[in-house]
Amino acid sequence: MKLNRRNFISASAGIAATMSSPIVFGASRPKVVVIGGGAGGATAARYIAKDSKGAIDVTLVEPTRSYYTCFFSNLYLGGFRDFDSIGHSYGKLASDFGINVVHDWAVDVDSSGKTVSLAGGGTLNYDKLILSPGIDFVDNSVPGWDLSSQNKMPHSYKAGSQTQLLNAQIENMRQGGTYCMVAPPNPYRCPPGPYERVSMVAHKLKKINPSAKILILEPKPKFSKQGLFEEGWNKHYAGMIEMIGPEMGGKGVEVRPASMEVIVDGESEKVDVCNVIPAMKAGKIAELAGVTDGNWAPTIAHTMQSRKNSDIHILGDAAAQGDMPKSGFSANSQAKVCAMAVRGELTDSKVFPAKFSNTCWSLVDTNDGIKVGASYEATDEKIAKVSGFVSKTGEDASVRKATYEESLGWYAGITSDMFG
Amino acid sequence: MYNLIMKSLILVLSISILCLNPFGFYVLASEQVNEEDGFEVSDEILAIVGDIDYGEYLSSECTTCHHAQGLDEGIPSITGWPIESFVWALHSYKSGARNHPIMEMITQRLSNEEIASLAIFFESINN
Ligand SMILES: Cc1cc2nc3c(=O)[nH]c(=O)nc-3n(C[C@H](O)[C@H](O)[C@H](O)COP(=O)(O)OP(=O)(O)OC[C@H]3O[C@@H](n4cnc5c(N)ncnc54)[C@H](O)[C@@H]3O)c2cc1C
Repeated sequence: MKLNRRNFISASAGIAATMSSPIVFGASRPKVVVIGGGAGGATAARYIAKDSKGAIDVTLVEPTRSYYTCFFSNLYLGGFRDFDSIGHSYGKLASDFGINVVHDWAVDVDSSGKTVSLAGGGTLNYDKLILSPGIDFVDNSVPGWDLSSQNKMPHSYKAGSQTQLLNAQIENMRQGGTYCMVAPPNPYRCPPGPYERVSMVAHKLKKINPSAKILILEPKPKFSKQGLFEEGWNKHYAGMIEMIGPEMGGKGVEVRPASMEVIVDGESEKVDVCNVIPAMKAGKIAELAGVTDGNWAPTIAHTMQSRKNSDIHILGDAAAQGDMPKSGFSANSQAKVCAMAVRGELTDSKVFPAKFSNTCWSLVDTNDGIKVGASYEATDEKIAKVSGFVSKTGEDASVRKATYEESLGWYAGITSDMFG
Repeated sequence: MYNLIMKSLILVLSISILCLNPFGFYVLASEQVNEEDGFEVSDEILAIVGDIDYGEYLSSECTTCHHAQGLDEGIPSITGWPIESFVWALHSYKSGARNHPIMEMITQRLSNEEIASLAIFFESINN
């Protein structure tokens, strides 16, 4: 045969097809699309790709190119971590695990046609969809605040530029000024998060602005590890932190971003930095996918499947799953159960009984770490707590130091478990 | 008897970790202080042969904290341990002879077979 341009093209197309076939496993590889590359989504994508050894086609949709962890973002505010150390790229998920990482927003889910639409115009088909979009804020939960005021009054409850902004505001606060936190109502991500943040802000202010004040406007009658935090605040930051509880006006606070005022029980107070952490709900895409009931997306504990659509699984903060707190550790733990269930359904791999666990470490001051944790099992009704533990007040300094050091190990462990 | 063997194994292990990273040694050593002398694991338990695939699945509960590639910053590495040391260590937490709130909680709901499966899986990872 004479090799002219025309058969050359068809010949090379043939070669391309044969060469790629062993990798592609034909066109029939089952497809999993994961929306959200955070603690739940990155872990689920990695475990499905890793354990299915190429038998499942995994696509991860995540708009940001670097994921900044909310976990340890408070330590950045305290000056214990630099900003770069909490950023992670998706490179290894693509190069080492063959995951198709698409940097885009999912803007809609057609659950009957099993497709996901992307903001950039593309469409992805799926056999199984995993949603781990984290949280969005409930409109009007703090009257006077909306997303257009997040530069004046940052939430810093999604890490990244918001965290850097809050850090800059704290560092530039006038001497003797007031940092105010409008704390969130239940349920919200990371139950000890706001109070670890207060600790870290206090740590920084004690150094750079020792006459500064911290005001917590608290809508809840009690919060996670409260006794431990209060013990630490008295010990390390005596006289700096004031808390106004729900019965004294800490609930139903209104804000005026333009004039930097907070209205507590009808009285206006001017503050210098105002960290508004509004009420939360599942990331918007969960609602668009039709799997929410109220603010959250109910799931079946054994598989993390949606109770409304068995082709969709929901992980992490967005899920209404039962007893687990909304944490990165929980999302990571749920992702492994989900990955196993999804592989079982798509490739008949072995499925073992679901098991979950969680530990949340918090730093109160240098080498003063505390933790709370529990183990959980799947029941037909929910993820149910089995047993738990919490640090004790009055613990020895060496125990607190070891607890802090343990949290460093955990951070290295979980981020490598998420991103490879 | 096994207790004695374990002591020497742990010693060897600690020394090898010391060579790699003094911090890993510190964590292990500090935990050994709490270990009740005389803690023994029965021969029946040691004789259980684990299932490596099951161990791999169960290991995902460990790798949230224990770095899968064996880093041991703040939390000891658990990869590449001899099977018997691993089994002994987990049973020492499960029985409460050795104290650590997270490790006691996690091991209390691991069966003897599950511990053996984790041991065989983690032994197979050599970094
Ligand atoms: C200050 C603070 C401190 C914390 N500290 C800890 C801690 O010490 N330990 C701990 O375990 N947890 C901690 N957490 C909680 C932890 O960060 C969250 O619980 C965890 O990130 C939840 O994981 P997720 O997968 O549900 O959501 P995320 O990790 O938030 O991931 C969601 C991802 O989805 C993406 N996304 C959203 N919508 C779309 C869409 N439509 N299309 C595509 N992508 C989308 C987002 O960009 C995001 O990357 C802390 C949180 C905060 C705020």
